[in-house]
Amino acid sequence: MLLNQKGETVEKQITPDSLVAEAQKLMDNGYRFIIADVFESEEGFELLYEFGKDFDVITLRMKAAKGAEIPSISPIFFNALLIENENQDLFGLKYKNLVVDFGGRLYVALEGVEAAPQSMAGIDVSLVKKWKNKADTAKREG
Amino acid sequence: MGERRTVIPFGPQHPVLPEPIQLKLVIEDEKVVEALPQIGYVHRGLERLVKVRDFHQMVFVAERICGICSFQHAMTYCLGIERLMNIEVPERADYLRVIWSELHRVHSHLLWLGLLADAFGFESLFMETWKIREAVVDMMEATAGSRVIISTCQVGGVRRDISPEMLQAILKLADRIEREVKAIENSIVNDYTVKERTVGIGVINKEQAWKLGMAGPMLRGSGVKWDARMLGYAGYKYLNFEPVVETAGDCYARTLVRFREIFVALDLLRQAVAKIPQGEINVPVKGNPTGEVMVQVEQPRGEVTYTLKANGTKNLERMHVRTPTFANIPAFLTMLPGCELADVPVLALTIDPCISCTER
Repeated sequence: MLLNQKGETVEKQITPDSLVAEAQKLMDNGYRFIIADVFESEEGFELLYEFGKDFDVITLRMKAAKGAEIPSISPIFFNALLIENENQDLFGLKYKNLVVDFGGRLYVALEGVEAAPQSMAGIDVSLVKKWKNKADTAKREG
Repeated sequence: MGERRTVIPFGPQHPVLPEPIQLKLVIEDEKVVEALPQIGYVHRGLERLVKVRDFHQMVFVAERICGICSFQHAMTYCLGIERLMNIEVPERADYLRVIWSELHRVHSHLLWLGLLADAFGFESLFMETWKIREAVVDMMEATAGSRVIISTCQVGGVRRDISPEMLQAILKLADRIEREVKAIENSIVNDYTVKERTVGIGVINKEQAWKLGMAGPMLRGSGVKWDARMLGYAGYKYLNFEPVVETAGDCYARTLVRFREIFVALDLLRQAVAKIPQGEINVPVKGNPTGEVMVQVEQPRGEVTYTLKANGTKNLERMHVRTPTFANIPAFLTMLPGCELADVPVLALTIDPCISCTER
């Protein structure tokens, strides 16, 4: 059980299948996404998604088998795109529906650096724009 | 004239970037329409060192994640271990942690202010802020023996005390810095050039800021009153302070927040020196940590989180660090589309990026 700053534990055990629905509930209740932690073991992965509201933190904990595909929460919490891409890089996790999928190359290899402008062709950036437009529309509509 | 799309690699080496990060900017004429970051140039895999360094040695690794907020990295890590091991740190150590933290905040904000001034060509302001900052770094050397990575934090407290004479010197330094920073206030807050380059640029409203998970002065510059120091870790539970909040959500608001936070930090230094009790500065640590913990601390750039997993051995199973720049990059990506190419350097600096922190 994960202790927070206050020495408390607010945790919910979920499955990867229910991650997006749970994240949506938290978004609707005014939570922000803080970070996703990965604990790796021989059996697979344990993922902890941390959300905060005011000074409270809630953790969604789930287990995932190696090779399993995990739904991304980046369409809901845009800021999750960086950590979910990092988890793909560092742990070999595979996320589906990432708003920007670097395909395991967030932390670039040398050849990636040399081919930087060209490599854009392989990366779908249009969703960044769509997310921005959606946020702007929501702002206009008050 | 028709619109033409061009992809411009901004960085990894760029005059405005102190550390390497590349932005792939898709430009239509002079306007940015898309942006993607490419990071990894200074990824060191420091988190993995928990496998080979014991939990005491990892304090030194944690503070090497970043040179500018090194003390706070070490302190956050120690707070996590102390929580897992139920260690009560002596009150004097709590105060000493505040003093070194706030010295780091002052020097970090002055460093950032200089870089911002340099980014839009205000060279004399750059030199002035860095000259002021130098005295803070000198104070770190006087109290800890080194100027940047001071290695005074340890699990169970702090490694070095500050003598009564040095505490008085810190008070004198706070007065001097306040005087010198106030002398340049008009050149920042009311300057035509600064306003032209920052007002109305990179606007993020309060709701977006929260949903984007922004941290630190970025978040407070958009009107969100959230500062991890309000959680009352270390000596902050004994001190009074009010977070600096601005509501405009643009580069100017973020500049004002950081600028005014220098005065808040100086006030916290004065309070800490006035209230610091006599007593021990650390307690013995026996055994090894067990369990999982997440700790949040307010660094100069914003909230850093450390997630630690321990299994009762001398080596942790996992250390995961989320730094404020890591939290602010997604917001930065949403700011860029629609801005002018000439604003990109200012926007890059407005998040006060620390790439060493981000990549670890």
